[in-house]
Amino acid sequence: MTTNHTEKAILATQAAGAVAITPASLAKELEAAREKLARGLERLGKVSEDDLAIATVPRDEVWRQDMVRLYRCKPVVDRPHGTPILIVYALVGRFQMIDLEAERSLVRKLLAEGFDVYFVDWGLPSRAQRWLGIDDYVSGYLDECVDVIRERSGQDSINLLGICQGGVFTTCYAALFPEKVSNLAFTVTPIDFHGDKKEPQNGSGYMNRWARALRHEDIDDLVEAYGTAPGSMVGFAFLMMNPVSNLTKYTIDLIDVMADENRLLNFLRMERWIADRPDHPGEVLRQWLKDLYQDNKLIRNELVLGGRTVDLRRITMPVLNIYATGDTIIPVSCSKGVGEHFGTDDYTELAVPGGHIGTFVGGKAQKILPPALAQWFKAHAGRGAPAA
Amino acid sequence: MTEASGMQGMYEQWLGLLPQFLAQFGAQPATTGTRNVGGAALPFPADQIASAAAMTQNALQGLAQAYAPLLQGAGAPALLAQWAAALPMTGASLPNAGATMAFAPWLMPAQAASANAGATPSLSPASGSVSVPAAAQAALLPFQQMQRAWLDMGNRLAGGTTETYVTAFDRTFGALADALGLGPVRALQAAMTKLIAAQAAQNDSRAAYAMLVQSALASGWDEHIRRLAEMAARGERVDSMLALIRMWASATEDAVHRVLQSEPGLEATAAVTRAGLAHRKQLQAVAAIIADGLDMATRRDLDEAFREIQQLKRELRAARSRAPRAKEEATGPTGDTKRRTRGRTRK
Repeated sequence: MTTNHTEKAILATQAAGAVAITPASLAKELEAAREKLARGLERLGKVSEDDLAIATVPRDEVWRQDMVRLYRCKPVVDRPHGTPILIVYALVGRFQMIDLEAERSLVRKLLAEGFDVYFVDWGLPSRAQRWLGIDDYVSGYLDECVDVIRERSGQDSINLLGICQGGVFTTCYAALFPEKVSNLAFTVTPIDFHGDKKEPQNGSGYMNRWARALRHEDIDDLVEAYGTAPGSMVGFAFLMMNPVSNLTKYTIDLIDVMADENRLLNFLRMERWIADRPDHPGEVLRQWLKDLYQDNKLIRNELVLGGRTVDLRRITMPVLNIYATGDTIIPVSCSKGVGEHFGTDDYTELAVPGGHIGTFVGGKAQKILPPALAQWFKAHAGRGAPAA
Repeated sequence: MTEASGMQGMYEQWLGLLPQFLAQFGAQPATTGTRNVGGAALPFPADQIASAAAMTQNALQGLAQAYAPLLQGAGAPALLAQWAAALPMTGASLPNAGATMAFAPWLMPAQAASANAGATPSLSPASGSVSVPAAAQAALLPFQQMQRAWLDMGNRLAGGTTETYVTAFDRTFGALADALGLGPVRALQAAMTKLIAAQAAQNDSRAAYAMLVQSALASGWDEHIRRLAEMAARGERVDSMLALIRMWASATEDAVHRVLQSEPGLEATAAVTRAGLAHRKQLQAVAAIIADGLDMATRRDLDEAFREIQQLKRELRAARSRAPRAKEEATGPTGDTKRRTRGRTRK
């Protein structure tokens, strides 16, 4: 105790030596910060609804069922590439992430490369959707979307681009309906849900560890108690992964954010997306947490959907797996190095800088991800031959 | 819950923690700020960010008022001592008199600190002690407030307290409960007893979780001081209060990750989750007894209806899937069946 006390006292004295804040510098700095915030508040006062609009790419709704919508983005070239791309986002967030802003839009960049781009909006599930399972999404809604696109485009098979949970859905789909998939690309997608055990990192993979700390019956209780997991609860869970930085973000970090108009608008648009968390259907959650996070059935070829086993070895079409090097939500080790589990002999992995979401909106990643996807899809064109 | 209320609800919950967060640095408890700037309603989330920014603005003023006299009197050690005084393990006591130079016992509980006072230098003008400014007094319980904020998060995740629901039940069904008849009333009493037990179990799990959070915050402070000492050894200095706060945030975040991702951390989190769910289920059991007694449909009844509808949809999907195959078997494959239409709603 005494030693510890003495050591701490010495450490404290040393630490104080690093602090060179004076009364004058303190007053000057905090006053400047307050002035920045005051000017930022003036800027905020001029922000309009139009300024904060996200996902504004021109598009047409081509199919709908229940709360699910399929959109086709308006091509920007006269003759788009033959095989369309269907983008499949996760259920835990909204599709708007793929087109957050005109300058930070995966969709627009793919359109500019001459692709015919579709995307699914999973909508806002209500209590009525609590019994929807993963198979209802994969063999139901997703298969319907793929068939609609095949019919519209005259292609036997199309390109799939899955994101995060949507990547798991597209992977399952490609294993169950390989004849309808020309090429499979997925980004920030967990394939090995226990991958984090191999390379545990502080602050990464909290969801993996939390889910494994629960018992199967806890998950059942969760689903039974809530029916559908409220979006606000899911959002809170994400915030709690980094609770301290998510508090500085809305306080002292605002000082710099609000000092620049473009940065402020970018921030607000991103926040609008973050806050928009749909409720999560209970049965999907049950399978997601038990079969995948707890039992890791996908990579073991043990996941059963609608009575059929999802066998990754049936995925023989080209596969592109893109992961984010700074992803703490889906640890890199859950995505990386899983090629041997797929049946294809044309498997590519690509590391992109940034975090889970930064992959799609970060400055560096924007220069890498869309061009890499476009190049890969172009290089693998011609596999979705027109139907006879 | 509407889409708008869902979006804003999460924001309000999280931003509701900001006053406690800001208070821990010694700022005056912040106001709730404003959602209107220049009298005009702002679009979401500009309204929420305006509130947070206004709150931060107030807090910065509080910080300046709290820390300037400390720095004036005893420099950086006083500032760090003031900050450290707010650690949960200190018993919510500012370092009286001369704890500053050693930021006394790191800080030890109040009694221990007092007992140890003779061993630490005093900072008053006469004897070395520094009087604590009124503004700084507002930060007497900062980390405790932070800790409370964490527990509030648990409440929000796991549902409200029993008292809240019992009061709501009582107001809603109080008089009607007498009309239920003896049997249901007994069942209700039994269920309420279980509910109280579930509440107690939930409180226990929260207390264990709170201890864990306390240890994470304390560990974060240790790390913060260690990093500062290392900076000093390298001859580096931090001359910005905001940078100092960010350094603390980084050290604390690392500690929070380390503690909550440890085996005890995961066990405590799982226990809180488990107890919260048990409590919620028991609440639902109470509600079901009342609803049954009054012949009201419950969510469970609706869920069963939804389950049947979903099952019918699956059967319909399977039938549609079989139809083209049967046709192919009868007539051979055609383009139509290869890209079959399934009665979709198309635009």
